[in-house]
Order: sequence, then C-alpha cells, then structure tokens
Amino acid sequence: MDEMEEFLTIFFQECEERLGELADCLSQMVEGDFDAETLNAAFRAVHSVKGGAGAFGLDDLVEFTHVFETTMDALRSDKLEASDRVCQVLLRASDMMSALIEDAQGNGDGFDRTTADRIMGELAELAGVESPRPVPGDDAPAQQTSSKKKDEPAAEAAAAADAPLEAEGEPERDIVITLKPASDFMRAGHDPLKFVRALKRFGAVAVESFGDHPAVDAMEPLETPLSWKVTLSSDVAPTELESFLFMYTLAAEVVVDDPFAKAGADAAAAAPAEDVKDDEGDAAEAAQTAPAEAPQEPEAKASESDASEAEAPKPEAAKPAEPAPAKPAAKAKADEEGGSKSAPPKVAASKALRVELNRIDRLVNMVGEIVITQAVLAQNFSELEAHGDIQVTHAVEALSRQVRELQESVMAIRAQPVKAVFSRMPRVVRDLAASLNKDVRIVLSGEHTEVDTTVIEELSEPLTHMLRNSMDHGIEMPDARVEKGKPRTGTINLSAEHRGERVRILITDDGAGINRERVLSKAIEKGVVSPDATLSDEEIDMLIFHPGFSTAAQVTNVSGRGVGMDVVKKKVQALGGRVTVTSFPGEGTRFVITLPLTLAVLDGMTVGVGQERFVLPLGSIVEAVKLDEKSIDVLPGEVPVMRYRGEWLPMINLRQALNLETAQGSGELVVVVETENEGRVAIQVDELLGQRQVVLKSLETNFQRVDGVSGATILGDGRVALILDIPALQALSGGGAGAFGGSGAGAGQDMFF
Amino acid sequence: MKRVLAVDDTITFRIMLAGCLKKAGHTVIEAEDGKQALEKLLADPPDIVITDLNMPVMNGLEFIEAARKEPEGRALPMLLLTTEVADHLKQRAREVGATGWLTKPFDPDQILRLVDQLT
Repeated sequence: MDEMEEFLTIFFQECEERLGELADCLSQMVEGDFDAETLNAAFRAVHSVKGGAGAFGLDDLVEFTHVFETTMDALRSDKLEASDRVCQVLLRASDMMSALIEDAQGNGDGFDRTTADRIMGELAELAGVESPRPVPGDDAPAQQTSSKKKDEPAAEAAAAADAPLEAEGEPERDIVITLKPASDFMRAGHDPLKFVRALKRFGAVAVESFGDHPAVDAMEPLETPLSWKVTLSSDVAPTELESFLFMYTLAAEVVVDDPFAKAGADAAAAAPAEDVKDDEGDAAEAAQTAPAEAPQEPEAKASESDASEAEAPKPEAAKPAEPAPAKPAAKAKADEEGGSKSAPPKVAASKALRVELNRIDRLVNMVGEIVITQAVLAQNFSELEAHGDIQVTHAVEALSRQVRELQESVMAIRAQPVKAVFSRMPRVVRDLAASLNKDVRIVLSGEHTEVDTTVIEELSEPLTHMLRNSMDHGIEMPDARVEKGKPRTGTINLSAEHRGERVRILITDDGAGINRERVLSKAIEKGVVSPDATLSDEEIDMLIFHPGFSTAAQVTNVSGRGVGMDVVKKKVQALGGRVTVTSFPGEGTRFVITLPLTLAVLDGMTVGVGQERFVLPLGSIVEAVKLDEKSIDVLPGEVPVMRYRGEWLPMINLRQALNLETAQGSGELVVVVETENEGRVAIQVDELLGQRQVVLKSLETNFQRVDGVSGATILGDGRVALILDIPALQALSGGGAGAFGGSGAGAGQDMFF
Repeated sequence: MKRVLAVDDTITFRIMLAGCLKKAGHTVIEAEDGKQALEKLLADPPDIVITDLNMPVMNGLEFIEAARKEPEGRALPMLLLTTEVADHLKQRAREVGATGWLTKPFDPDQILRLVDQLT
C-alpha cells in the first residue's frame, strides 16, 4: 500500500524532466530566442508541474507555479515584453521551483519562504497581477537569504567539515576554469583564443595564462605550452557550462571550480546535457584525460572535487548528492562506467529490485543494436550459404532465436500495468469535483493492461488534462443534470485495452458533449478558422486540440488556458500515438487515445522507393500484391483508388505523397495495410525488401516532427529509414480523412491552419 | 554566418543535418564521402567540418587525417558524428586529429552550439 509513495516518486521524476525542459527553454530565451514554440514549451513545463502538484496536494508548489505560469502566459501572449530582467526573474523562479520540488520530496531542509514570496512578487509584478503573498519592504536584488537556504546541503556539509559557513552570491558567482591543453590541442582544431572568446558569453572577467614561454625561435605555431585560467562571474547553470566544456576534454585537461555546482548536480538530473555527459564519460575514458585522483567519478565531477581539495571544503557538497548509502555492488559498478547522475534513488530496495530507467534504456539500446548486428550477420551468412557449414548454420539460427528471446525479456522488464497511472486519477477527480462543486465518480477498467514504462510515464499528464477537461467542460452541474433527467452524479469511464500492436485508452463521460456552436465561434474569434469555413462536426470537435484554444469563460486554477488539450495532442503524438474525440451532444464525449505498446522496437517490413528505404509496421500489413493498372481508378479531386478483392481502397503513391526526388522505379507493387480507424489503404512502392525488427529512434527529439512519419530507424547497412505512419500519410496525400481530418493543406503541420 | 562542411553518405542524414544548420543561418557544403569532402575542403575551405565515420571510398578518419596534412585543414575544427561507440575508434579519432566525437542521432541544439563555440 505504498502506492501513493510510488506515484509521488513518479511525479518527482516527471518534475525533473519538466525542470530540464524549462531550463532548456530559459537558456534559449537568455540567448534572445523568444519564439512562440519556446515560450509555449516553457509555459507547459511549469503548467505540468502545477497540475501534478495539485493532484498531490503540494500547496506551496501549486501556489508558486500558478504565479509562475501566469507570468509565462503573459509573456507568450505578448502582454509582457521579453527582456534581460524578465529572463533573470524567470531563471530565479525556475531555481525556486526546483527548490520547492526538492522540499516536497523531503530533500534538503526546506526552502526559504521569504525568497519564494519575493520571487512570487516579482513574477506577479511582471504579469501585472497581485501576488498572493506580498512581501513587506521588498528588496529585490539582495539575495542573501535565498542563497543561504538554497545552498543548504552545501552549507551543512561545510559545517560538518568545520569550515566557515559562508553564503555564496547566488545565482551569480565566481567560477574558475582551468584549461591545460595537451600538446596536440591546436592540431585537433582547437584554439585557446576561441575558447576564451566563447566563454565570454557566460561573462568572463579575468583571463590569465601560465606555463613556460619557449624562446621565440623555438616556438611551434601549433603547440600550446601555455595553460589558461579563466574566471567567470556568472549565473550559468553548471550543466550548461559542463556541456560547453565537454568539447575540450578530448584534447585538454579541464578543471572547473564552481561553488554552486552541487545545486546543479541535482537540478541537472533531467537536463538535456545528459547525453553529453554520457559521451563525456566515454570520451574521458578513451582519452584518459580524467584526473587519476578520482577515476570512479564522471569527469566533470571529478574535476570539481579535485579542485576542492586545493581550494575550500565547500564543493564537498557534491558528495551528499550521491546515491543513497547502501548501494549494491552492481550500482557502484555502473556509476563507475557510465556516470548517470539522474533520478536520486531515495527508496530502499525491497522485494523487487529498483533499477534506474537509464540503465534499462542502455540495455534496450544495446539489445537493439544486437538485433541489427544479428540481422546483418544473418544476411551476409545467407549469401554464403552454398559454402556454409551445417554447424555454423545452426549457430546462426540459434543466435537469431536467442536474440529475439533476449529482446522479449528486456522489453518485459519495461512493461508495467497502466494501473500505475490509472490509480492516480480517482484522486484527481475527487479533488477537482470538490473544487468545481460537481458530483463525479470515475470507473476504471483494464488497469492490468501492460504497457512500456516510458509510455506509462508520459501518459499521466495527458490523462490528467483530459479528465480535467471532461470535468470542467463536459460534466454539468448536479442540478442541471437532474433537470436533463440524468443522474445527479456524473460518471467518467477510464479504460485500457490491447488492440493488436497498440493499446487503446478510452475516456468516456456522460456530460453535455462538446458545444460545437461555441467551439466554432470561439475558433473564429481567435482566428483559428476563417469565418466562412464549413467544417464537419468531427472537424469542429477536433478544434479543441488546437494550441491556444479554450472555451472556458475565465482562467481557473483547473483548466481553461487552452493548454490542456494541446498538450494532450502533442504528448500523444510524441509517443507515436493518436487522439480522437467523438462527441454526442447532450449525452457525453468519448476520447480515444491509441498508443504503441512499446517505443523501442517494432516488427517492420522494409520497402523501397527508388533509392529510399521506408519501414511499414508489419502488424498493419494485410497483403502485398502486384499492381494491375486495370484495377486503378481516379475519383473526383484526383483521388486514386484501387480495386482490391471487391472493395475500393484509397491509394497512396509514396513517391508523390512524400515528394521524393529519388530515381524513378517500377512502382509495381502495392502493399495493403490496415489502419485502426480508417480501414484499409493501398500503398504503392517499388520493391519489398524483407521483414526485420527495427529499433525505433524518435525523429522528433532529434530533429523535428515530420508529417507522415512516426520515427526513424537504422538499417542493417547503417542507412537511416523512416517509419511510415499510414493515417497521417493518408491525410498528407489527401487520399481520405486521416485521424485528424484530411482537409489540411499539403505539408502543413496542422490541419487547422 | 558560418560555413559548415557536412559529410555523410546517407542523403537523409545530410538533409537533416543541413536543414538544422541552414535554419540557423549557416551555409552548408555537402559531401558524400571523404574523398569528395577533401576536394571540397581544399577548393573552398569551410569554418568547421562535421563528418560521418563509416563511408565508402574514404572514411571519416582517413579524411580527417588527410585534411590535417593540408594547410587548409591544419587548424580546422573537425567533428566526427557517428553511430560508432568503440573505444579504439575514438582513440584513433584523437590520433588523426579530430576535434570531437559526437554520437548519432544528433541533437540539433548541441550541433548549433558547437558550431558557434568552435569557430
């Protein structure tokens, strides 16, 4: 019955991710990038934390994030003009949010309320609203109190080490960076001058060089006998600095003395610099530049404590950030190798072994790579078969079987029942019902449906938003319900079920349904659709997923900023899924989310169009047939269809749909695929290249969302192949109504524009 | 802005990389293998090179090694961007004079930051 605690843990992990996203956005903003997407993303990060905090009754956090969010909202809606000062306040607010989250986790000795209130005051002032907790005699720039508290663990450690307890000027502080180039530093394309110049962005104040100057005639232009010491006076996040310095660690010894690094080590947990950190660990290993004194620490950390020995005991604070006491041998080992600093493991191991997701991810990745290698091996071997040895043949076959089993076992580790998120929802509903004065009960079913952990984690936020939406906009007030002859208590059904390779989640309420008239007029008012557009009922319903769209009369603590459904759509899409809504006026609304079972591996069919390779999900393929010109017809509006076993199927020519400029091929094959919502579709390709398991790599995280494509993978020969998303592709080619309606113009990201 | 020589034998990947760089205002010169890259580098020296490792004709390591011998490439930042992870290859990369080692799939922000930082 420690369920609650478990969910809290999940929430805090989520918070760390959100903090990472926020940090990302803020650093973009600091560099002067205030585009709408960035501001939206920052807003959503704060909003998500608020949502979760509300669900767990973390009132301090809710209050703070509400004000924070209001400011972000003012910024994204141009009510507040972006400036350096705004960025500074936001950065401080983000630090405070992190401190509040830590406090809620029971880490550290609480936060400083005065500072929190002061920052809230600053935020409220920027947003032009009243702060819920005005501070008398506010003295903005003085940050002594804040730093004292923020550095609490550091201070503790320092006190324990019998050192003077001195508060650092936070977030601005002095950081000393020492660069000792290896002899081939410049031959590796580096330049100390560029190094120093690039550091200036963080606010370099002093540069000194040391080392022996060679005699002028003995000077090698590409040798750098000098070392450099740069002192920054900066509020840069330690992770940001770390990822900046990473590039130099191959060819130089880099030592950072950052008094604030401890706080960074915590906040950085989910920061995007993580990849870099991993690389760094590897790079350090390969290049052997890591200081020998602390070989089991990741490089940067080692550098910190390294420097600390000479300096002051303060950076000792890096130690308490280390994982909990009794760590199993395996864990220590992994620390030694990879250097993953995220997810503070505060919960002691009981019957089950808790493993950081990071490590499983690494395992899944490796297994994925093995699957690829195995495929290459099998392919090469089959070409040699004539000379093959029977024993080798057996071995290769056994390998392929075992690899598959290995993969299934690894994926099973990641599978979790959706119960983990579902059982959080009654609480959300109960609290919300109380604050809305509505009478609502929630009925859960299919909680034992198992889904990949990543999917589970990502699911909680969209689900919460959808429930809120249903309760705020769908379910009527009790009296109104009675008047309409409905039971006083509204019901929301939340269920999950497996559907082939996917999982389907349904949220059904018995409320009023979507008020289409109001949605449409609001959409027109907001300029989302043009006044003379004619939209079908379904299209109107889908408008609620449009960014910035909201029909709520006023902004409440609950929903109505129009962030909710937009987030839902983005989240679900990012997971390779789809969300649709069906409304029955007066009777209720049904949301359907379909998601892939796993995000990591897919059974696919590789098809060729000219030189390009694409992957179709194997589970969706019905049949592949040879194209017969006679079976093709064109409907009005240039929609090609193909006669297939007595029915007409919409047909997609991949070359045209994706505007491929690749060499003309035969186009003689047609693959018939089944989609979840749109029936069967015929896809015209040049050749079929065989089935294989593919390891999914997200395009969105590495590049950007591409319509018609759900991800990418690396083929056995090292080439990248895109994985096709049939319904989206259908919408793209105008061959029929896709899941989001098909009226969108060409390659537009969204049908509503 | 900056001139980036992007070397990869996979067209999709070059499109992705070039797209991300061009969006940020950089000029991108593309090459399909090390040999072509070397020719382009000599004909029209860039500010920074981002190259794949495994390529036909001349691989990324050979390319960097060759480029370092030319005046145009002597002090040029040259990054490897690859799916390889083997330590001996990283060691080799350092020996031939690579500026850095990045793993695919790439992070557009990181690439842009590095282009900014190293040139």
